[in-house]
Amino acid sequence: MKNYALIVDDVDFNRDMLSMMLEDDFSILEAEDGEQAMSIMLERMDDISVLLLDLVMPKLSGMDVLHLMKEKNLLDRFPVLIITGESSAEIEEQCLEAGSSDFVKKPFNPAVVRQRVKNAVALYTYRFHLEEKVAEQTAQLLQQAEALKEKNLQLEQMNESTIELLSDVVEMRNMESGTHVRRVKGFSRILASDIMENYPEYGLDEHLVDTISMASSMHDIGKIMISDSVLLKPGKLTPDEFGIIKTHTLRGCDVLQRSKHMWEDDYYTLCWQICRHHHEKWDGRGYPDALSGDDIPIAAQIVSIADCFDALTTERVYKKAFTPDEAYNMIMNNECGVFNPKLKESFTRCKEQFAALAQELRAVCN
Amino acid sequence: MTLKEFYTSVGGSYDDVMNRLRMEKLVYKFLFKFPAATDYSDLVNAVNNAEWPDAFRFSHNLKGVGLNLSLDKMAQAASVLCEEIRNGPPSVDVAPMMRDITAEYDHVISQINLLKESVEA
Repeated sequence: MKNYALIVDDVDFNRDMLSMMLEDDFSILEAEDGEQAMSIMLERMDDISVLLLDLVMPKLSGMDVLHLMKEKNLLDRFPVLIITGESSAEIEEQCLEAGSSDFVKKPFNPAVVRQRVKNAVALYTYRFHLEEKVAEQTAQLLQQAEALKEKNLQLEQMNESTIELLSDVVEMRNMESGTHVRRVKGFSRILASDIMENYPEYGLDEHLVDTISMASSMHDIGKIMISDSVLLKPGKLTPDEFGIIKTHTLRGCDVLQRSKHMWEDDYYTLCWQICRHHHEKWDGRGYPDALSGDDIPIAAQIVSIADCFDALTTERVYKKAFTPDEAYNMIMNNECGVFNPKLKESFTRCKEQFAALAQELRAVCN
Repeated sequence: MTLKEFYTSVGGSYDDVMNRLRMEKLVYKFLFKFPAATDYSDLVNAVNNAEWPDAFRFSHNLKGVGLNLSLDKMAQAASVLCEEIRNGPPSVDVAPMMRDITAEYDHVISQINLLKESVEA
């Protein structure tokens, strides 16, 4: 039970007077110098409610005791009232600055001392309980934040699973090898990371790099709406058929629009941008909106290069696979349409990483 | 001797001490404890040995006890020496100050003894 008053004074006459004043409200502990006071405080810190401290004492002065209490964080545990024959305002100020709660000058009035002690103890008790309450509420908030984080993670995992499921559907529908989406995802991540490092004007961060990479899986979702006769035609497409193929960008957005409630906003936005604009070209000669330059969202520009590189290096019924070097040169020479010069620089820096990833994933597939 | 007469005799303040301690019984209790306190004799020794930090502490104690018991003249005498040696050795001869303290202290002690005799009678 925390109900002791520690009285520190080298004059036993003074200790007696103070004990008499406080013995109705507290059990009394006494120390006749600063050293003794410190050892009692350290031993019984949990029992002490208040410290009454003289200033002029042998071994350690009252001021030394205050400094040591500060060092040992004891000033937060209970209030200190200086009881002294000193009358200078300067000493009073020094004591209050050093952490004492009150300064009582001799001759003291027992009733006033008793009341000041009670007030100081009440204030400390209130503060202590307040701190406990704040700590308790902080712990609860942290717990809630942790739960939210967990929920967020679950939501992200759900987004990821849904995207993977849909992209699997596209690949199966498209008769793809099964790793096209994984490769585009990997290439997009490599390129997006490089852009984050070297072109801060695009405002990419780690989270956006992750999201772009994930959302890239959805770039061809519109192809599930294209009829087999066109989508799976082994030979060269007629201009009309090619026109139908081109609608996969718009139809993909329709699919997304219908499932909008399933997505978090940032996922949805990026999926939509990628789906609609991954065939736009830097010079405005792409489709469906003939956007040019940086009017084309950066996520779509990234996936566009990734998709193009993968298409070139993959064998199809109507064409052989180009080597990574050949594909690199074709992209750099604008043989597949014009790309953003900054992205081409980025692509050049990442050329080896692209080739390594392509080889790795093809090895997994085979 | 009454308590009031005691305070008049030693140059103290009966009204002040009663105002603070409220009961004569308490004032008697602490006054009768005072002769047992060693601060005065400790002070004499410290001054004789020029141990100024100790002399400061004992004069400070004597002043504090004097103030709490409203023994104003004795507290004042102790306070003069206390301030002279607060920051180290004195810059003047402290013998006259010690004479004043001794005179006041001896007078207080002799009057306390008389008071005690009156109470016990």
